[in-house]
Amino acid sequence: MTWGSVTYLVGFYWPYLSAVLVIGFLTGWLSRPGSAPGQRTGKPYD
Amino acid sequence: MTSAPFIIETALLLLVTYVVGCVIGDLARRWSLAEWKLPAIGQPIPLTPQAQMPVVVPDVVPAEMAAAADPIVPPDLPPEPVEMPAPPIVETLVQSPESVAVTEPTPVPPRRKSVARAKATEPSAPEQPAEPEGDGRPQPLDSPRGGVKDNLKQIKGIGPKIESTLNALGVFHFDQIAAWDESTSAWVDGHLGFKGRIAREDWIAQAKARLAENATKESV
Repeated sequence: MTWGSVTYLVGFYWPYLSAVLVIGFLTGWLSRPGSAPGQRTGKPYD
Repeated sequence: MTSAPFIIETALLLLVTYVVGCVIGDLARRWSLAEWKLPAIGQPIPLTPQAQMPVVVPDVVPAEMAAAADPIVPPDLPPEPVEMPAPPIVETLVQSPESVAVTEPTPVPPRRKSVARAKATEPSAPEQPAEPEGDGRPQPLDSPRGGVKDNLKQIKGIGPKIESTLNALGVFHFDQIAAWDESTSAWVDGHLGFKGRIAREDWIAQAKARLAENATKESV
């Protein structure tokens, strides 16, 4: 893997890479417990 | 198989992109929580002593603020209140005492039974008929002239009881009876309840006769 090949891949697949980046971002945002919208914390009547 | 390194590089690039996105998302989440100082959902909220105390919001403007504030006067309204005439209902209420005084109910005459009871319990004279109308009462004397009263029992029809009654009316002498006119005799007749007895027995003539006798006696 060289910088040239990386540059080529990013230039060629940047829409897919951006989508993967967004998916990773959401995964990291929602990875914290109880941070997901509507996610239950496990407590009763929460 | 020249495409194998290319696929590996692509997969690694996607994996790195995904991991970078996860790290950025987690950091962004932490940053957002730190910015708003809000705990995550489900986390207990730390209560400070101030937050534990009940918050009392005064509904009264402090005196300093009230003094500093300018009075709000609507521009359309006059600064001083205009005296408006009282509505008719208020006048009616104000005049109500007078109207009450005017419309005060007249005393209801007592029932006949109560009148009869009052008369029965009343320690009255033996006969107390209604006094005749008009002023016919004889001129009374407080006491007999010279301290000596005439013997009114010399008139026929006058006994000791009637004599005491006449004395109570201020009649002590014959000349008083002789001076009676019809109205006076009628008044006394009605007062004593004689039903015309004075006229029938002619007290006035008898009194004049007694006066004449006394005059002749004194002249002799």
